Amino acid sequence: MFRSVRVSYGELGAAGKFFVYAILLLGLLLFAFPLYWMIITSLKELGDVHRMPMSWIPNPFKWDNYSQIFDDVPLLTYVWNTVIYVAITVFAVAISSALVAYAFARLKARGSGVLFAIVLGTMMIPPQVTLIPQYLLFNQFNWIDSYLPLVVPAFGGSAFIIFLLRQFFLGISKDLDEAVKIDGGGYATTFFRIILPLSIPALATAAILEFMYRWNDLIGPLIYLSTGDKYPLSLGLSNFTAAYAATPWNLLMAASMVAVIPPLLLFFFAQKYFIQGIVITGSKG
Amino acid sequence: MTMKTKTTALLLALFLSVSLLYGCSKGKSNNAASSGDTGSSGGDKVTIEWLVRTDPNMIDWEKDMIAGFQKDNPNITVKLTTIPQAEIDQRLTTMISSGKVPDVWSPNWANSGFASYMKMGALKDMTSFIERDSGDISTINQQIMDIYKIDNKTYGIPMLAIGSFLFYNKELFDKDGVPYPPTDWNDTSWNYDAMLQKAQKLTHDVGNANKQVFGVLNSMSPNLQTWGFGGDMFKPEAYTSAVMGEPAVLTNPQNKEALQFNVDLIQKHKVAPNQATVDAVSAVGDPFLTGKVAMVINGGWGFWAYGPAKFKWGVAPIPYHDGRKVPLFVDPWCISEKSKHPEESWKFIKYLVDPNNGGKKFMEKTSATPADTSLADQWYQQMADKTGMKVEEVKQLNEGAVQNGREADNHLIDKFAVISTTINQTANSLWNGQKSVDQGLQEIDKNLRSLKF
Amino acid sequence: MSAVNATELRAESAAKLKKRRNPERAREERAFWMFISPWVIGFILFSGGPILASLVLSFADYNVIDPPKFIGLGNFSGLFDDRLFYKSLSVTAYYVVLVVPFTMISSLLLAVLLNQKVRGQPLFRTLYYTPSIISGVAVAYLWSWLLNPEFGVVNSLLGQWFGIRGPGWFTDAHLVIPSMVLMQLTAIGGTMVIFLASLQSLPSDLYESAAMDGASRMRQFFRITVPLISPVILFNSIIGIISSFQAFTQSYVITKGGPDWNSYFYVYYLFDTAFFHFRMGYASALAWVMFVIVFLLTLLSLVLSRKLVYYEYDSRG
Repeated sequence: MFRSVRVSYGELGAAGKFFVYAILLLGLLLFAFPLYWMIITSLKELGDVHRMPMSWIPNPFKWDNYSQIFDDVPLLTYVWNTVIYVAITVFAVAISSALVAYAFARLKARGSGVLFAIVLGTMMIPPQVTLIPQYLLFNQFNWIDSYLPLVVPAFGGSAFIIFLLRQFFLGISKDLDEAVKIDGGGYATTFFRIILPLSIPALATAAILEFMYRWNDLIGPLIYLSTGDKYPLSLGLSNFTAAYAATPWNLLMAASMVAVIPPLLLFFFAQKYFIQGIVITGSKG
Repeated sequence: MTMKTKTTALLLALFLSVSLLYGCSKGKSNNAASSGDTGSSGGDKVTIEWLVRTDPNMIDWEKDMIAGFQKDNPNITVKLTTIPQAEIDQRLTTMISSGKVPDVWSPNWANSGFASYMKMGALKDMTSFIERDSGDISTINQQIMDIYKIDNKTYGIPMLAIGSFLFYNKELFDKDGVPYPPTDWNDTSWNYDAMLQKAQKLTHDVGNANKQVFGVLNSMSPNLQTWGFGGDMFKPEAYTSAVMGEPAVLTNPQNKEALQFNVDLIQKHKVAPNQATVDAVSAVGDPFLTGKVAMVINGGWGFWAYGPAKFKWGVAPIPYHDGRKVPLFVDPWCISEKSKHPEESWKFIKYLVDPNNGGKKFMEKTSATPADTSLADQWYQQMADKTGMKVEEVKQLNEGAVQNGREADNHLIDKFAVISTTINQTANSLWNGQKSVDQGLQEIDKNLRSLKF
Repeated sequence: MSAVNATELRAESAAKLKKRRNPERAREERAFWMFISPWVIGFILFSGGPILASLVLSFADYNVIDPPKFIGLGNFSGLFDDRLFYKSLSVTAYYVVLVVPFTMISSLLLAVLLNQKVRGQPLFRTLYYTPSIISGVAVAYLWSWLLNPEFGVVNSLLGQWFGIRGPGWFTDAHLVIPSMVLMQLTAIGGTMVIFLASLQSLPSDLYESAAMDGASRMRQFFRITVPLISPVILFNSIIGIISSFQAFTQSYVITKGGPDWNSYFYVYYLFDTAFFHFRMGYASALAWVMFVIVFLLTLLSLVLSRKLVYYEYDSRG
């Protein structure tokens, strides 16, 4: 296996590089605009937010907005609640889903096709119609106004992540399984020694997607939590919304910035794990 | 095949266990205590849940109310739940289905509105409380108090009563030398033609995004626009029985006049922004706040929503027309039918509307028009300070809005959210000029009739 | 190569260890159930019941507060002459047909672009992902501002550069769905990340030999990249179908289902029916009809994909 070869085929010529660069920069006008709009809105005075034509640079810069949001709501409590909640669920979903996905990708059993169809099927029912039965169920467990309805089911895995990991696991060479078998190892050994180490990028991708979903999810916390101090950020932000045009957009956007920065930083620094992870080579001895 | 039978058997067993589990949960949930406390008798500690929509302007008042009430009533704990208005219906229906309902809330702070929840049976008849403690709420305007009296049963105690007005941007008027509109609702010279003339003088540079100014925008829903011309898409009984019944879309000739007038503002005179232009802005806020619309017909929440505007603005009556009616927006406090602690909830509501305490503080904090007559003078003063208008002018404006006012359709007709979606779909193609008003009215009538209730 | 080895091995076992096969089979089956047990337990305890309950409710009248009243197939037969059922279904189908290929192609292209080694690559990747993280309102505002008929950037450029009077976009009955498809362009972050991750695991030797044979970059992309990531393309397409059938927030925020019901998505109708019309039984029937449609489409994709999707290392015969 020649790792250095990989670089030579991946390199672009100068013209190609320029082309890619130009397209990427042009696209940023579109893709970075929402972030830019949030930043400038978060620094405006409320009376300037709606002025037309839009001012591209706040005048004056109202840095106070950022201190005010921390005075108005327990923002740090929300951040803390979210971090704990997201950390537990992402971990639970990633581990459980990996186990289940391994079974669907690598093990033969009667009924596995039907079960896999059910796993996929659970994604196809619009959540709006299962909301009430689910609430009744968790009410019966006496779990309302706690994170239990959101956290405990995560240990059963997520259909989306199971499906995603299954697709990745299908692409891992079966020879390695055979090798473990010949050495007398069981399925658990295969999973922990072969599949997991080889799927770090896939697992990291799954984790980041689950992270983003949990970080932003509003409806789950909205239905199950009622005590303000327990709110995660997604729900806590709504404290800055009001009906009938009374929403303080500058404060809402400042608070939203606080909510957006952690995932952005995480994405920026963690991408080497999920995007530039190890390469599964095609050479198989 | 054994494989298939085995799988089927397995699945069957699975579903069976699940449905049993679910069945149990359903049976028991109705008996579950509403807020975690069992028994409400005697000196036991009781917790009531107070559900409100999120509003940064109200949160201090809400905390103040809870602290004060709990101090006076050490055996009652009030738990506050705040939910954004856009999601409140989802949350409420879920809670109602489980029997785990909030004790005190305002159905108009959900998109479905009072009538929908009243018809559903989610609200408690408060008549006996009111008769017993009539002295405590005697200063609430009787006309407004009667709005939520259905079949002689009162389901809500009004807290605020907001009228409808025409708000105008004084700077744009001054720049073009256009005289301000009056403040007298009985001034018949201030009619829709007069409004159109002013709008034409104020409109300029339409199409040039940097300079354009639109004369007027009617942000009322299509049915409320017809009210302003003496029309109505529903029969009078609809508002008292809460049942839409036979629509009056085609039988009331004023409906056509009203909608045609608004279409002409947009399409013929080009003094009003196209619906599309409005949507882009209203995703974020109110078009009036752009500073590019000189006059806007809107609910009285403009009094505080327009507070942060960087230009001076004034308030005028909605133009005169024979049979003119304008919407009132009265928000009541209600108790859930299934509340485990109605007595404590009632006590809390009395505290919230007390003109010497809760009601007064609410007005001071939010600038919302109080339903309590004893607070009126203070509110006029407060608004006069805020807008730079004279106290008498504010008084004249608000009294006229109440006299000409009628409680809004979405609060009084059951499932109005569905009805208004139905009307708006067609209305948008009217404003865009894609359908004639006659065609549109026919279609609205047909679609309303096809709704199943 | 490996396939040969495995086949040989299997032939060997078949001949010599015929008796050991069954216990081994049983062991594999036991392992299967062990590994999927988290999901099975979760399904039994949490998700299965509510799903089943919604199925049961689809045969009932349920206004949320009174006990459900069973009406047999009443809800389903009601769908047949429900104008909005057909309208919202066709709006949604039109949207799905446009949006799935559009987002697949654009997110794969973006992933390939962001996979090129240019300076600032990690920053580019992060910025392109941002619209997928940030508040939906900011994104909705962006698009309604870009495509606004009178104030919008797109129409003013059309006017200045080409002298064309731009269309009404979200307010045009014919363009509202294509506009919403276009709007999904900034929401492709998640799909793009999955493609990007799959591009990392491609074997370098294949490209090396292709390059030696003089294959162009384009040819390499279609002959090597696409087949190798086909399991992921299948995944993204199926997820795309499932999620776009359930789309409605963009319409809820920007057009409220209009103009004239032309962006009234199926789940928008379901949502109104459930939470504003309080017809939970009818909403459940709507949900289950959609379930059947999406399920069949997914099955169809899986069956079709057997020929098209290429699991390189799958040596099962």
